Amino acid sequence: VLSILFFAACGGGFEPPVQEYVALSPVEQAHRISMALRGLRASDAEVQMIQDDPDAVVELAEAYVQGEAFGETIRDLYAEVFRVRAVDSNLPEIGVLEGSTRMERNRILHEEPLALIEHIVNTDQPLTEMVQANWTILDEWGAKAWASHSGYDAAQGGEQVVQFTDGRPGGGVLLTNALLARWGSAGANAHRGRADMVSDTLLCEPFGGRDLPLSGDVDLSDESAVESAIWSEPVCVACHQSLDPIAAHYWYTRARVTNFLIRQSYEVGCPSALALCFPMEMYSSTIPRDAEDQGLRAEGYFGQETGDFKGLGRAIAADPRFAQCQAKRFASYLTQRDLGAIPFEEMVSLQTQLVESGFDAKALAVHIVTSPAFLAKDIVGGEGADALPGLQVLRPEQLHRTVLDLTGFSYDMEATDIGLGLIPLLRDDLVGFRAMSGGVDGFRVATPTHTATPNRLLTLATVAEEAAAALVVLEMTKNARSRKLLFALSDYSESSLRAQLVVLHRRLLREEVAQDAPEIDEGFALWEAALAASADEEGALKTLLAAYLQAPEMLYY
Amino acid sequence: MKNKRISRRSFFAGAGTLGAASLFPLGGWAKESGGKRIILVQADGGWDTTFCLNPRLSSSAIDGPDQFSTMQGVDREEIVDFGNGGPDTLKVMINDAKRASVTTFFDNFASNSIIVNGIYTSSLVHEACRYRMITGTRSNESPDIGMIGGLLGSSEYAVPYLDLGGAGLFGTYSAMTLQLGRSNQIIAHLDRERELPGPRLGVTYPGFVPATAQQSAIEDFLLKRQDRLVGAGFGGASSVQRIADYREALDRKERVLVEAVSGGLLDQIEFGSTPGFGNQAELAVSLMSAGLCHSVGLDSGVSWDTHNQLEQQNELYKDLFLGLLSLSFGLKQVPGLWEETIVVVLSEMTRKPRMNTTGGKDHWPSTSALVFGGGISGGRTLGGSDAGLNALNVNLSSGLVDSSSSGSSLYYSSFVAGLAHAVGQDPAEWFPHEEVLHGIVD
Repeated sequence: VLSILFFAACGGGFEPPVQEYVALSPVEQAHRISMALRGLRASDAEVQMIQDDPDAVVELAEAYVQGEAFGETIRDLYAEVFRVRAVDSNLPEIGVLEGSTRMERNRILHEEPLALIEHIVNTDQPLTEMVQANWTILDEWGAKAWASHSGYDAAQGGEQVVQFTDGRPGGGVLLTNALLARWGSAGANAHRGRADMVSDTLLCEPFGGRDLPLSGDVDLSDESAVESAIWSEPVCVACHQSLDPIAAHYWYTRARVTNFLIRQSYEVGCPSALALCFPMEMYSSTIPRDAEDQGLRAEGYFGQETGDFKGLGRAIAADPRFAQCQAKRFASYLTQRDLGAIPFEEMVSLQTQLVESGFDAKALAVHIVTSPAFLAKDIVGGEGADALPGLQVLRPEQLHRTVLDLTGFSYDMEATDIGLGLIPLLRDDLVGFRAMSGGVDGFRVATPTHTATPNRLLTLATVAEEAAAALVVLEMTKNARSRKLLFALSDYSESSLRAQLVVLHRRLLREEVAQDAPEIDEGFALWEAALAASADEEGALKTLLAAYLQAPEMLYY
Repeated sequence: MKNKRISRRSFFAGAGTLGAASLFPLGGWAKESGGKRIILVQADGGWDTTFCLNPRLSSSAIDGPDQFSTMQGVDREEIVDFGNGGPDTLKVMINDAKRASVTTFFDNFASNSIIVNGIYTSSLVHEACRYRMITGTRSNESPDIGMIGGLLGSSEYAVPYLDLGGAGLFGTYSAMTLQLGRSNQIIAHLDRERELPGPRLGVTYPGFVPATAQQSAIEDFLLKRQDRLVGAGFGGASSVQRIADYREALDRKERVLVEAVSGGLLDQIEFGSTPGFGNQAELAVSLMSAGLCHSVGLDSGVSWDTHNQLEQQNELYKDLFLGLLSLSFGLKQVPGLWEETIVVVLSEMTRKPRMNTTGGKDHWPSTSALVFGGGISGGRTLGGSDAGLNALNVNLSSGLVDSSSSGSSLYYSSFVAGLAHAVGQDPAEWFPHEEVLHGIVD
């Protein structure tokens, strides 16, 4: 057991209590790091690397963040932050979007800001670019849906970086078409909901969570009294002096994009550029604005003048709360703790690390997942155990990637014939199981569930059974050396089966055991029971694999 | 979180080593304790209470629902007294041309219904208000009142809290819940023999469904692995909780697989079909009566956020009360169910007294709720609001409006604490720092 000593801070000359982390085994460490950063199990070679040199965890993590799968994790992380993968967000199949499937139209609304952040991280740009970039990323349907961009190569297809041609001054994700569509504004609220989103997602300071004091001094039913109060009544000014100037930046953006309004626009023939028709304008710097006439505050950021989104992005990037909030969000996501559960000292340490690294998201992620606390099984000699991140839970997106990687099976449903397209059932909530399996639906299920639930186990069981069936079909027709997972299974003799079980225990159950270990005896007993219950070895193998793929060690890592 | 009670963990501390069978003893603690089952209905988006529960005709301070009616014939907005005529009598806005279901509901169930008006939400933001109104706290990490009530059935029922609406909040009790999904997709997991479209055209699920003996071998293996996980030496609150949750969720999953068949669930839902509120209501009654679940969360299934077209509230109320009628008559048809159930219907906020410039109304930081059930002595209204829809102070011991200096604001937290008390949970345990609204059941 690798033990790491640390001393709790303690003043007054007392002997600090000595606490000792009980580290995970090398196999468990490799898998936990790999799962957190990539949503994939560590390979045998990677496990061996940590077994040979336990100090190689940083090297391993640094390799992981250079890979494509880390980009997927970044997308998933910020999907929970911005909640853009919203089950109720969709566009109608109309105009230039005719011929698209619902899943393709969903991607228009779900992925644009996430792709932007992923690109920034993948290309080693500072994370602050997420609020300063003056470009975006669109796929082929997004390029058709949104107006005012250039540089998309339709022949190439896929997601590409494009430039705005409508004068959007920067602001990164804050001015992406999809974020504007997701976070619409009721006209009378003058984009304050969007300002709240900005403050919540980027600074971890939601205005909406604050209490509205029950004050007898303002007649809330009197519009003019309310308008006056947000300038003069101290309890109102306290929020509005900060909220309203952020909201003011959105004056030049389209307030709302709804399915209903789009259809309505097409019904009347899309009479002007302001109509909600494709390709849709989401920004116009020519909209006349007279803040004083509207009783609104001018653009600003907590007392600083910003002018436009470029200034806003610059101000946010320079705000220490941005670094602190993003560090906290990374820690929260990667270690599955609520934002509020990140200890202050840890948060400050991560914030410092992020700033000193030049807002290097990869370095931050590596730092988090290689910390002794994250790689600990327990603590002895103190009371710090309850602060450990502890066992991690397979997110639905991770379940998809893990099972695909291990077995070649993807839990999808082909529904193109009814206009939906290929539905990724672990990354969808319309007919899929993302929120039901612990994820968020971007709408009313706003926070993930990090524990076992009956729904989650039902999903895991079904995926395990379907993946077992697919794996047997995919693998057993190949010779053993070219298989992904069943490469140790040369025949159905006991020795061959035990050799294969050792592989399954290492890859799926995160434990390194010998062929004659009790754990393998249990696995072989399962095989014998399965064989007795099955018509042939193939049925028994499916049963065995279905059991291993839904074991608690698959759910937890 | 002030309301987190470790009842489930202490429950497991006693029962955890006894095996699955002993976790679910015959005989319901809920019934023995006198606790109620709860059905929580959310009307998401912010209803305009002047259309129904807090009836107001247009005045200098309020734009009422009468602005959308001809006020002739049956298309007439009318404030009707469905109660005893006293100062706390139950008054409702009716319009039989637009919302006849409202009239029908109160004609039948007013004597078992209470309206609570003037609940102050302390926020104008949808999510913040929703969390407050269903949990009594500002946090979405707290369990909602449906979950709190459902815990009374944690030992007797496979599913203490069935979240049919998909918008429930469970706190640390997620392992005791079940969701069917927006399109009833759970059927793909409960009925594994059923053919469904597969990952490629022409391919169908299932690819492999273990036969009974194969399934038995799988379950034996999972239990062994579960035991190994318990003994693996993971420490700390998070790991301990997650391991305990696995044990609980696995037990409940197995029970659901059995009871979904015996309780008729599989016959009542169809893959790909999004259940409307009426369907949810019928299903709730069916599954409660079958004993699958103790308490249920429902959702009206439509948005009440009428910033632009306030008149839509007519249709929204009509459909909501059609569903509530179905729910109520259904509950009454099952012996004992009407008496042992409290239905709470709420929306996270109401709408401003006056219209905005785009044909709708914006957010207003107070709301109303409808509480009914066979055990409710109804025909009454608790709380209230003034001519401008500002919440009035109340006497929390009675729930009646109290404009004297001793009156208290009726905050969301007191309201939810009052619901906890009404269903038989101890509000002092769940809401130790809150004053409790009385008057719902005593």
